[in-house]
Amino acid sequence: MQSGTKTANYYFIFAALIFLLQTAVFGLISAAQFVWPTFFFDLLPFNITRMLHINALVVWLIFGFLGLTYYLLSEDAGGELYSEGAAKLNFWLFAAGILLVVLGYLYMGLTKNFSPFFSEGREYIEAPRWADFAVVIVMLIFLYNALMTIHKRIGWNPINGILIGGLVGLAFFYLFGMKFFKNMVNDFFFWWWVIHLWVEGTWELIAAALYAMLVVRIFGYPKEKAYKYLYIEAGLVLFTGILGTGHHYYWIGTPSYWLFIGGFFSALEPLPLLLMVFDAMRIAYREKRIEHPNKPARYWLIGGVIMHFLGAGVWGFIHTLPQVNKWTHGTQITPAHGHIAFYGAYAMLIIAGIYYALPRIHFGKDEFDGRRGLWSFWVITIGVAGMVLSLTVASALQVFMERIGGLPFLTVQDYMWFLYLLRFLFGILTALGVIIFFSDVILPKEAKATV
Amino acid sequence: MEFLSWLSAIAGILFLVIFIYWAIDVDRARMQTLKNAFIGGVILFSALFLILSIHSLMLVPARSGEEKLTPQVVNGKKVWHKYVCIDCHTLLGNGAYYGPDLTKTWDRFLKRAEGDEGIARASLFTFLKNPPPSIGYRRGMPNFHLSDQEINDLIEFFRWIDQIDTNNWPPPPSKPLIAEVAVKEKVEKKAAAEQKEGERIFKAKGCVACHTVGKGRLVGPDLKGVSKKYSRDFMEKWLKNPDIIYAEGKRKPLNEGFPPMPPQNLTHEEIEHLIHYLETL
Repeated sequence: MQSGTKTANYYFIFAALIFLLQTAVFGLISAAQFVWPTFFFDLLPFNITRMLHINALVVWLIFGFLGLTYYLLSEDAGGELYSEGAAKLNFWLFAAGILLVVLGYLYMGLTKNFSPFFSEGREYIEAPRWADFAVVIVMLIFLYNALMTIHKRIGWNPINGILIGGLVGLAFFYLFGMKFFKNMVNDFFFWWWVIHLWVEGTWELIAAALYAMLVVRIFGYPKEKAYKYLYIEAGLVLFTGILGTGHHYYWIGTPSYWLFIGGFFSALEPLPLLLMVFDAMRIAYREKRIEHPNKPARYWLIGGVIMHFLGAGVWGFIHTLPQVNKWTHGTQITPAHGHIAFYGAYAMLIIAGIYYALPRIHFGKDEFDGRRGLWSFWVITIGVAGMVLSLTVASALQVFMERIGGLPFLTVQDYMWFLYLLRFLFGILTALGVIIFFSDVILPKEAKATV
Repeated sequence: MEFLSWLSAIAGILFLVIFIYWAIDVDRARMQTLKNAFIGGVILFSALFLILSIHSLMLVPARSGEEKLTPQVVNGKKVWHKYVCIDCHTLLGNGAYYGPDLTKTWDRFLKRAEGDEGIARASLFTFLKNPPPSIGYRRGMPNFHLSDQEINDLIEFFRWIDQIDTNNWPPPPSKPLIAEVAVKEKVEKKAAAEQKEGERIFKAKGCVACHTVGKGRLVGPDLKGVSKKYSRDFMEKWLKNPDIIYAEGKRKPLNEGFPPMPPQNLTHEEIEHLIHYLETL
């Protein structure tokens, strides 16, 4: 058995740490401020805690992508990357950059000295301009290393081709967030090129390729077939996702033909995700490819496919048509969808990958004590599902009372108080699950010796 | 662009059907065919997206009123970014959901000022200078201590945002009944409370000693329907001091031999309540 590079473990630990901060610290404070608005508010106002919450999400997912890419490529390459040193440099540069950005946010929040030097003030890509350049350099180092590993040691195949395509796209579309627009409409227009073409475009490519790599390894899926499925999946995701950008161009000042294009293509977006569920079910139940001893990795991978469909597919679809979105746009339905979609589409996949790599890195084999992996799987999944259901009900109240009934914003928020409390409680559950996961990533336990 | 929209939709369906067909029987599809279809599809849909994007961007200046985009508006946008407003509020529906959507801020303040731009500007200025803090479980807005210049820029920014053609978003409430009922209930509740208070004063001040309601003349006249006979002003004047009206109008007491109605020493508030009550009779 060929184990991959140990450098990837740096990425996994850092990703898990940021995941922990995202949920157990910034997530919980933000959720609490919905319930008790004065909680922590003078110290760190909501815009700062929320900014940290969503930026931490983006950062740990990217760390997960990079780490998994390094790990899986190094396995294919015979255990080592083209340059282990570059991978380490890559890690420390990125981690140090993130630390500086976070310190900037905290300084700004605590002292109330707001300045564009610390934040650009654009949702999800709040990092200041100097950090943008650092990200570009980090991505260039990473891409060079990954490309050379494939080129020199593995050889190209559809999976690593699409993976690299997605990663190049991730870096490329980030560039559109690096310009100041005088016109807010153009600002939002290109902002969606970053956000939408990331999460419903290039990130989906990365995720599909990583999924294919893991399915081949964990479920012994034939490579030839995996290649074909990947072309189909990646193709369908992009064909629907690219013009699906239109569902963000309904109301921001862009022409009205986007109502038709956006509505049409985003209505098709759940199809490839449903296809993936069928595929996963066939693997797990009909073909019963479940000999692999790493049970947590299997659970997270298959569970991820299901949550991906529910989150991105179902929760996305319920508010994507312009006739519906007209009323729901800008209400709590968006965070409801956002939480479950990010969790299902990316978080679970990355956690599955981390669990696959964990025993191989630490013990050099696939067997390990997977109990904490299964516990965290159920606890986090139930936690997220609870939060999402609370917010969905809250959003229904908001849509009917505020948007359709015309009551003032804050009056309606009073009626949603209990649901925010529920969301907070399920948030605690989620954070507990993440703590379990984090402890496993740092100190996984070996399987008890069997006689 | 209608043609291109339909073309995109047809291409979308076509690719979807072909790919799903391949997905159902993956062994039959050839690798090279799949690869070519994948790359071809990505190029086709990217190209469609690019053409539509460029066309949209060409229309944006007119739709967003770019001729009104003064340097002050741009400065206001910088203020918007500087204080990370978007991580509490939404603008054009994008952002965070802790505070209300701010697309129609200018419109809201202008409506409250009954169309007077000066008043709208002044009240928005006051709001941003001293945003309402949190009360109990109600959310508040922190005071960012914006400079006067920053506030004025921000107001211009909101004013500019308000006039963007957003395809009529946010829509007016389709069933505003809820709001109307709430307002109506509030008004009725207030009226009922005032009437009750008026009735209490009516009895407590001994009005009933001389007046009846619907039971005919006693010492003074029956007060049933009194508000239809006299104007509000007249009743107010009367309740303040009947002597003046006796003197001015050369009136006499209704019943010969009885004294005229004496001044009741009522406060302004008591008079208000009494009139509310009298109006219901």
